[in-house]
Amino acid sequence: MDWLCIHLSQLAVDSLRRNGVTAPVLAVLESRGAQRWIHAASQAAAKAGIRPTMNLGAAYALVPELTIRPRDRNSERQLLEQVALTAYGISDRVSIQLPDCVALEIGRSRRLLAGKNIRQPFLALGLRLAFASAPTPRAALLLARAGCYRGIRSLAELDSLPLARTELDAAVIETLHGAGIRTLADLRRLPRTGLIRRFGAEPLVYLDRLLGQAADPLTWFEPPNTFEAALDLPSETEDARALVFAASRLLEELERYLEIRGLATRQLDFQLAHSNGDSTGFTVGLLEPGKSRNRLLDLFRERINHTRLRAPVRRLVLKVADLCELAVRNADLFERSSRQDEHTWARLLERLRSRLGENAIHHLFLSPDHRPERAWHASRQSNVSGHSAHKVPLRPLWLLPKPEPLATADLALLDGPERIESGWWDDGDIARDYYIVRLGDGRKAWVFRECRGRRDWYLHGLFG
Amino acid sequence: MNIRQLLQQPQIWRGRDDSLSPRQPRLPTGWEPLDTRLGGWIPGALTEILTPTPGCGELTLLAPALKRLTHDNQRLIGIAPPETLYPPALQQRDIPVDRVILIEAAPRDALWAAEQCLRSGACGAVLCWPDPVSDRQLRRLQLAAEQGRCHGFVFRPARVAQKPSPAATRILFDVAGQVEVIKCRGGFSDCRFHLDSPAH
Repeated sequence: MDWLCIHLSQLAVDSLRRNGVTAPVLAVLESRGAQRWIHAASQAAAKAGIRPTMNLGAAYALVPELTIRPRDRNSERQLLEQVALTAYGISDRVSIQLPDCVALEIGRSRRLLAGKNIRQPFLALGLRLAFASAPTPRAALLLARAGCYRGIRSLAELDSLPLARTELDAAVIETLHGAGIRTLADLRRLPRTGLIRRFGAEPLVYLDRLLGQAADPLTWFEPPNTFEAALDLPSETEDARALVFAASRLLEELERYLEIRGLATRQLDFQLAHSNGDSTGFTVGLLEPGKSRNRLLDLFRERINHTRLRAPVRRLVLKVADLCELAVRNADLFERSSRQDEHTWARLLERLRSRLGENAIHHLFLSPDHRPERAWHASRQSNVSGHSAHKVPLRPLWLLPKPEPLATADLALLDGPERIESGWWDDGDIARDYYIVRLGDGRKAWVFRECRGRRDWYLHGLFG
Repeated sequence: MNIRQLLQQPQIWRGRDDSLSPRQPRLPTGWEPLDTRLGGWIPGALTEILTPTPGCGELTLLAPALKRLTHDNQRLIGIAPPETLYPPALQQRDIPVDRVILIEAAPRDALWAAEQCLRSGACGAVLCWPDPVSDRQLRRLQLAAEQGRCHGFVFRPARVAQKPSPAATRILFDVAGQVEVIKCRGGFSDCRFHLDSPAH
């Protein structure tokens, strides 16, 4: 039970249905050169007698109203990838190498998955799927194809499997039938050298892989790094509601994709293809990364209601290239974690500097100088060593960059004077008497009077 | 419709919003009349401070709260203050200057910078002086403060006191340092006192 295989039993039909082919009696046509034959048939067509490998004429003769469409390998692959993406949410080892099937390794997560209904997310995809599990991927595929909804624990249970169910070449099976060899057990009893001589190495390689006796290297599915999904509308429309409905399907897919990848997005690109060949495109941006369908759908609805469509829309495409981590804020058990805080601060500084310039951010430092203008300085760097403050009388919280001349008439003295006389050794020589006063309008202010020269009054700061 | 849904209608005003207060511990203002009435500054919200002219006492009012924030190792951001926030005076009010960062910005950029700082979650309080500022811009700042769980202090001229505002708390100053709470979320707004009065 190490491998789960999900067989898309109606892959060819489902992929056409996804593209808006609604005819109930539907057959899928495969062709090689001039040869054309039925590859798959919808349930209704199968009921009417259409079988795979039937040729076209025979099919038409049987069911004249049959709708026939060529096989679309691209959208088949997209469907497989969609299922594989869902499987990627369960296991990191997912392969779509086996025909019409998604195989995923579940043996390592058996305890994690125990008791969970792992079919549930797949059934939500709306496809016809068959599940089976087995010790090897190829064995699981055989069981799933046979419509056997169960798992086997031991490969011995495969012994009674008819050879016709295996993936062996039809010609090989026929020859073996002719020799009376009908089941796997019969085949395993034959000497290997004889088999190789008769059929070449291929059937044995397959057999060994099926039974887990040889390595079966599968290429693992890697989820794409960008999301792209398209939806063909059932009929051309200009109706915003119909477009919102279509977008909700795409956004649901996107949400699932982001959920599985553990990511979010900040930007969605929508393309609305018109019937006349050109298209309208717009981008929906988010301030905070998001993934929830409802939130994104709200944004789309807002946008489409304000978009003027030039022609009816035929197809809706959603592209998302900007994937980012979902911003998750963890609550700290004891205190703000300082490392995380430093990280967010660094990111903020980066953003501020990139827009405002390198010199717009000032860290403050005290300087050992009595002159008020020089008692501090600002620096771009935060790691300049500052000085501790020396004891001085109360300073105002606001300092005017340049002292303003003041009319003395209207001052009520509260405190002072404090003489500051300093700086004879450089060009900033001052000699001032500072007072704390109440201005005429009621504000508390820091003013000074020159001790020399014209002995004028100046306003230098506010205590506000 | 049950009572819970009914209460979520935006038209319904709730005098004391109990859904807010218990979960968010408020920041004590350090002024006794304000603490009893408001319960403190609300984190993750804008507080608007309206003054007829800069320097009426608005920084004195905030100083105890800012001191508490910086001692809690949080950063204070001042965005384009009209004059110099004087570092020696901050130090005297026991606000360590190495936790204070000033940002120089043109008026348009100042709003942007305020929003970034509020939203970032890396700042304890953001002080800004946007003028003029529209209702929509204030709302953006309010949302950013909510997101970053940051204290946003917006200083505006007193003449806009009559206009509605999305800020959670609005404080009106007169020139002489008389303080009046004209709006507060989850409290009663009949609070008026003087910064210089000896009661505190």
